[in-house]
Amino acid sequence: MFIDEILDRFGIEDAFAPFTVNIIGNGHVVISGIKSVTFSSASEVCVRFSKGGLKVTGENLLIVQIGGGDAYVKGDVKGVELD
Amino acid sequence: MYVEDLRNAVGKERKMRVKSHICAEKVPFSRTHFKTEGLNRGRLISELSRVTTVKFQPSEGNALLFSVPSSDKTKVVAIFDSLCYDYIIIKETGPFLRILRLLRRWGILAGALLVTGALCVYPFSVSDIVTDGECNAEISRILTESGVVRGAFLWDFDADAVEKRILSLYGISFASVTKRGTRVYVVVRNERDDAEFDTVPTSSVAASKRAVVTRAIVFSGTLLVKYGDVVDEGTALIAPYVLVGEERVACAANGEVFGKTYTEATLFYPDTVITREYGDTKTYTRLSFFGKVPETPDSPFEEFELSVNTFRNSFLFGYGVFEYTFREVRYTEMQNTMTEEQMTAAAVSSVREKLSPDAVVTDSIVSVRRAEGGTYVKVTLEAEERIDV
Repeated sequence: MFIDEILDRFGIEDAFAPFTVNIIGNGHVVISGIKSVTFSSASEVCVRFSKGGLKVTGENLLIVQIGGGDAYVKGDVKGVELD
Repeated sequence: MYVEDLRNAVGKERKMRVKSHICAEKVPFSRTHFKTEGLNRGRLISELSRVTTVKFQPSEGNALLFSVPSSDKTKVVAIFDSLCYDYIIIKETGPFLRILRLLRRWGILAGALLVTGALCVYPFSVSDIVTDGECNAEISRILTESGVVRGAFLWDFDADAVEKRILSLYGISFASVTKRGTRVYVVVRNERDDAEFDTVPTSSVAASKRAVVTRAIVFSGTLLVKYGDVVDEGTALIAPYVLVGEERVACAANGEVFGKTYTEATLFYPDTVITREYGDTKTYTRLSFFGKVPETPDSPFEEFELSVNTFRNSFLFGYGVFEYTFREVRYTEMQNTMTEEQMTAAAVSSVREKLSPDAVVTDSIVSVRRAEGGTYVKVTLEAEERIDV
């Protein structure tokens, strides 16, 4: 899988990657390892991991799909901030 | 039965009733679309994401539109109930769901199947038979026996076989049978009449009488005589060949040859001529039975001509009617009152009649000689006429 190749290049195992955030361009964000969604609006999406959290800011944000700990956020992403 | 009403005042949403009572949870690849409003949607999203995969659609205002697999619908509904959220099930979609709903519309399905069947079957039908040429009753019979009839269906149409059958008919030189779409095109051509060949005579043109050749018109062949040649009957005048260099090339002999002929005749004009005249007539009728012939009655005249007409009726014992007609004949001796010139003219005219109509008399020699009992007139006519006929 794609994430396995990345972990392998960094030399880390999956257990040390409790969450992943992939930013594709400036309009798509893929987040893995989500425990809960704390806030969701068109300008801000906040999620929590097992350790820490993530805030995606922008405009017209929409969670296209979420489930199984993975979320796909689409919109005009201005920033991704880790807690 | 499957109608989820809007229980909360989220504006005046138009209620969309799910028309099918088909249980979408049991249909694979089906999705249920929800709509809800409320704050703290983050918690709702978290709860939903734990039990299923949620897909969100863009929405305006506080509304939240999302869809989940229909198999997880009960879980979602339970979450809504536990969180006391109001929700609307907008619709349920899915490829198999659509098919199942379509199957419930049996009328449409039957109509679609009927149309499909008709479209599949119609190309095999015969809507029209277009003929080109003289299609007689025999050809029509062949077409009918082969199934080529308006309104019929040709499942396995062998056009070549039909063509062969038509070509086997007498007088047919060409036949073509093709089926394009639902039309059958039949083209038939009859044989032309045999050509008429003119016979070319290969015999020579020969003289029909003794003559002196004066002129000739040769249409084909080679002239064998020249002006002044004396030819007898049967002499070849035009030969059936032409000379090409020194070689004789065969061809028909045709032409017109004219020559001078001499026609002679001697006529005798007696001094007295006995003429016959007819006088009275007398008719006798006799009846006979049993096929007998009655006796001829006596003639009332000394010189007579007799004619007999008979009529027989063979019905029952039969009888015959005999009609005897006596015609009186008188012989009168008359003197020849013709003058010498008249006898000469008559003789010349008589000899002229023996010549062909197109003969041109160039000279005439007449000699008159008196003899006992009459006059001899000898006429010799010189004429130019065709001697090849």
